[in-house]
Amino acid sequence: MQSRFRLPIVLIALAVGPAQAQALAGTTDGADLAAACTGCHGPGGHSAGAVPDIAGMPVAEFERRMAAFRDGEGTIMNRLAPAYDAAATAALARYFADRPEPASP
Amino acid sequence: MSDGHDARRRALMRALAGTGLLAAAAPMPILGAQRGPRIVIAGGGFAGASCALALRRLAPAARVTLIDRQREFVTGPFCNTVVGGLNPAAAITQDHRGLAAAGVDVVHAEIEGVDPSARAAHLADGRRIAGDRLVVAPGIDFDYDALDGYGPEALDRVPAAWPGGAAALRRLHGQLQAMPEDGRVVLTVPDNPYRCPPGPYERASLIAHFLAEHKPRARVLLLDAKNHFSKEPLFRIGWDSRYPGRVEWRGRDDGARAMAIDVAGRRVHTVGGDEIAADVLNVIPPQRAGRLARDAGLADDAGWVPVNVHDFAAPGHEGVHVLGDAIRAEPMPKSAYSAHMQAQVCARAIAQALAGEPPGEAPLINACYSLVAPDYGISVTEVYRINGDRIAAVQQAGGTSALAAGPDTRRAESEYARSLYRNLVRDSFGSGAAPG
Repeated sequence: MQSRFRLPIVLIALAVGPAQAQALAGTTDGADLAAACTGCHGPGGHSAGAVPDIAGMPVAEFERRMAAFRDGEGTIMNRLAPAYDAAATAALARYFADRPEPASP
Repeated sequence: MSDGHDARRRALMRALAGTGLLAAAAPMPILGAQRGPRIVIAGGGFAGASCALALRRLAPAARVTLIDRQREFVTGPFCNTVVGGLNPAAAITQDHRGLAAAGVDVVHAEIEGVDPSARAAHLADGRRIAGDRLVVAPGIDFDYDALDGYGPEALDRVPAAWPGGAAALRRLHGQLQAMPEDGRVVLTVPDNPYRCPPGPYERASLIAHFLAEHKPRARVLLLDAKNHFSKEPLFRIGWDSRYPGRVEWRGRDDGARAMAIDVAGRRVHTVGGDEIAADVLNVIPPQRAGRLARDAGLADDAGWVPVNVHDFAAPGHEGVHVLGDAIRAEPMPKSAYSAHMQAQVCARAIAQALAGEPPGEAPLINACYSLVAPDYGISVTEVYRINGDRIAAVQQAGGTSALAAGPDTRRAESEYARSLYRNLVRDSFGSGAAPG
C-alpha cells in the first residue's frame, strides 16, 4: 500500500529543495550527536525529574527504546526518533551507555 | 589576576600611544592570557552560559571569560508561571556560580560595547577584555519606535515582562491580583520574529488559570499582529476545555495589531481603528537584536544578526560569533533550547578550530513545552541539519503534541516541561533553581 505513495513524496521533497532536509546521515560522533539531547535529558544524560535518565543505559535498551519511538510510542520522542538512522542511534547508545552513573548518595 | 594583567596592558597602551606602535599592538589579543587561547563571551543568558560551559568541556586549555552586567538571570522559560502566581520569581532565577565552579572567569560588569575587529569587550569601568574569539549573546531589545506611545517609562504601569526581571513579573502578577472581579486583561502580541513564539499564548493560558481561580468573571483578550501562532490548534483545544469563554484571540485580519498604546488610560489603539480598554494591559513589544550586536554593526537593516550556520560566526568578522535570540537562525525559533543548541555547535566549532581539527556536523534540535495549565503541557519539537548555508528542518521528524491526546498525556507533558527546565538549566548554567 504505502509504496504507491513513496515516489510522489520523493518528488515533492526534491521540488521543495533546501527548505527541507533529508534524515541525518554520516554523523557518528556520539558526543557531537548527544549535544542535541542533553538540553532535555540533562548533562551526560543524567536527568532531574520526569524526563528519563539515560546515563548508563545499556546499548540494547537504548536501541530498543529508540525503535519503539520510531514505531510511534512516546509523547515527544516519537517526533524526534525518526530523524536518527541506525548508525546515529548506535553512536548515541554507546555514548550514553558510557556515561557514569550518578554518584550514589 | 586578570585585572593586574589588564592594568599592565593599559599602562603599556598608554606608553605606546603616540609612538605609532599602538596600531600594531592593538590587535594582539592575548597579552593578558597566561595559558592557551582566550575566548570572551559577552552575555550570560542561556546562549552565553551554555557556550562557556561547553567550551570548558571541549577546549579545557582555553581561558573562557563570560561578562554580564547582572549576577542574576531570570529565565524566559517558566516566567509565565510567575505571572500566573504558580511560582515565586526565585524559582526561575539562575546565576553564574555553576559556571565559575566549572572554571569560567565570570565578570559582572556593564559592557559599554564590543569591538568585533579586536574581538574585545569594553566595560563601563574602563576595562577592556580581548580574546582570540569573541562570542556575543546579547538577547533582544524592545523596538519602542514600532509602537506609538509606548516606551521604557511606561513599563511600571503597562508592563512588558518579557521576561524583564523578577520585579516586572511580580508587578504584572500584582496587577492581576488587584484588578476588578469582572475585569479584562489585554495582551498585545507582535509579528514574527520575536523571543519565544508560543510564550504569549502560554501567558494568556496561565493568566486565565489564575482568573478562573480568583476572578471568575474576568477575561483575557489577545490582540495579535499575526493571523496564526505557534501550537495554535493545541492552545485552542486547551482554552476550550479548561477556560471556555474566558480567552479571546483577535488576529491581523481582525485588525487587531496594536498601533498605539495609551498608557495613562490603559488602552490599545488597533490598526483596525478599535480602541480597547484594559484593566491590566501587558504589551509584548516588537523586538530586535540586543544593543551590543546592533551598536557593533553586526545586525542587518531589520535589526537581527545574520550568521554562518555552521559555526554561528558573524560573516565578515573574523573570530566573532553571535548566538541566541539576537540572530537570524530560521527556521529555528528564538527559544532557550535553540540558544543552548546553537551554543553547543558554536563551542564545538571553536574547539575544533583551536585544535586544528576539521569541523564536524551534527544535528540541531529545538524542544519547547508550554503549559496550558499546571497539569496540562503541550510541546513542539524539530530536528534540523545544515543544508548548504541554511538550517533546514528534517522532514521525517518534528511536530507538535497529538491534538487528540488525553489528560494523561497532557499531564505527562507538564511534568516533562518541569523536568526539561531543570535539565536545560543544569546543562547551561551548571546548576540552578527549579520551579514547581
